[in-house]
Amino acid sequence: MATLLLPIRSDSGYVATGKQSSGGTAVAPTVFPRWFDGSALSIEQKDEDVWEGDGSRRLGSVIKNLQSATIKLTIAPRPNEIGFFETMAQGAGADAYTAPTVSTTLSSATLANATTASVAANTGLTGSGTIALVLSAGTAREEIALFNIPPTGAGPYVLTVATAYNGGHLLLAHSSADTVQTAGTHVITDQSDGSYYTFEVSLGGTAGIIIRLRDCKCKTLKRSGKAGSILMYELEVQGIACIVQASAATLTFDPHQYLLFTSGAFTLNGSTTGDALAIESFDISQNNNLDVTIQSEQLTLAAIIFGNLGVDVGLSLFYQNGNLIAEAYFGGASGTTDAQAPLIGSLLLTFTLPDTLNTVTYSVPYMTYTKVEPPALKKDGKAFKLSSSSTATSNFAQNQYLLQTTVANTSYAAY
Amino acid sequence: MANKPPLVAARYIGDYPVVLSRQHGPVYAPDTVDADGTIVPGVRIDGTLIGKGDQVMMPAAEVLGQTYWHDPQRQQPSLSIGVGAVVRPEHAGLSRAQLMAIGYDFHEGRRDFEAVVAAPAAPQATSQAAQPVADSVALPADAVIVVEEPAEAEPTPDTPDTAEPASDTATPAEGA
Repeated sequence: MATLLLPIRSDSGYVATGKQSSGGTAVAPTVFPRWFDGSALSIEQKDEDVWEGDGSRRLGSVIKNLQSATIKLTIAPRPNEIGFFETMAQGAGADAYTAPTVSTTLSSATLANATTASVAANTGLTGSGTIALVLSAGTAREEIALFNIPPTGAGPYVLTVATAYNGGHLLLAHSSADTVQTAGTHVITDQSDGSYYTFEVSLGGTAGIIIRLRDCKCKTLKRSGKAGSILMYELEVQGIACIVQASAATLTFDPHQYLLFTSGAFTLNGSTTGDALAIESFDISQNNNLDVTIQSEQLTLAAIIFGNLGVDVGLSLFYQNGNLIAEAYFGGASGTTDAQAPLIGSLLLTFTLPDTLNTVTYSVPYMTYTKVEPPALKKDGKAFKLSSSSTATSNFAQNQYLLQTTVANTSYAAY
Repeated sequence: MANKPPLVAARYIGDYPVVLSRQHGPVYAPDTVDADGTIVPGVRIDGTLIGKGDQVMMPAAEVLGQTYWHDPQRQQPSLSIGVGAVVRPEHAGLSRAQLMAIGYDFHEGRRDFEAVVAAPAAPQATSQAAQPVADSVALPADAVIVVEEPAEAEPTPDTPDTAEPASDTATPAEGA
């Protein structure tokens, strides 16, 4: 009888991660982002040919000098995951967390299809209009709904579900004393060094191999989006030591939505009109320039530290006039000849989930345009496109960050 | 086929609700005991949404952490010492720093789950039959438990103290 191979599907696997409490101590992963093609583990060994004189011209042996591993991960992160990965990239203590402005509880249980909710306090609810609130955050009955404010009553306070949300009806039942909150806010900026994280990669589960990589730091993070598509993250981390695992993790996925380019609000060079409305795609690339040369007595690295920070912005715009070219090279929109001063600009991007509670904002307050590529002539007659590259700077140390990411989500503690 | 790892009941304590994947087969809720004392088997819950307070049967090492020993010179195969923060009898009494210096590698459990069974006295003490109790038990961060035998017998290289003489590892001034 023929013996058949036992092939393993190339989608049987996962990449997961968790934040370590300290360097040197791995942790079981808690964040399981759904991955895209391009996600991979790479184990690198640095070798040395050992040429000893033995009367022959043959290589005698090869030894390993160093072994380490890197992981590439391509994901469409959810707002709760964005805070996690932004903090990983920006460094230890990067997250300045602000508790929600509304934080109360349900005074009584509500049924599915209810049109009102009774809450214990009205702090943060005294304005007028509508407000997005998350009920029963963290539980399986979590629901983010829109309510009219101010509430009625003198306490408990009765909130009416806005008609813009499911026709004015809650979808789920909630228990008395369940939490009612606005979003937690995470303002994430670059720090001098990063925390260590553990990553775990399954390549076919226990039929293949499951490798846990401890003491990882973020090498690069690229945030990108293009017209009509999803906000994407491409992350690369470098780790110190691998440990093969005997069993696969229990995979748990964030059920929230990813962010769409169409939900974006764009401010380019201080303006929300003109080129800001012509952005076809963007990317904000960060390079932490890790020092991966710290090796002492062991085969693996003894530590990894952040090096200099680089943040670059790439844009593709639909070309409507020559202003950006003139501003970059000729000193201004009406400039006529080569000018010394580079074009300084800024970028502010905000993406919002349909629930209006979860948002992410990227702010690059000071960037120097290093290239504005005049569009090439093409006979196909399609629209000209203009591409630009910019490098973020601190403007002679006047800015406290190159990139600030502000995430409003349902994670109610600093990452 | 790989052996099924020992399971423990764990309570979800993460920030946001999560969907339990079906990728690695069935995931069950813990067994419960009804009013007349009958054990009610836990229902299958993979593919469902869970939130704070929900309980799941999970691999013990994933919840409680696990301990390995690696030869510092990377010449000998590594050993899985067991579930939780555990040490071989010959290394009892050493500090965490000393243990790590001779090759112990302590892995922490998941931060978004906590065990709801008594912490095992030995690595194999928990099983899928373990019943949940009302109160959770968390191992202190610096706690270590002595195990008599390694959890996984193969491979069977020299024990850590063969690689590192016991007299060295026991020297208080050494290591940290």
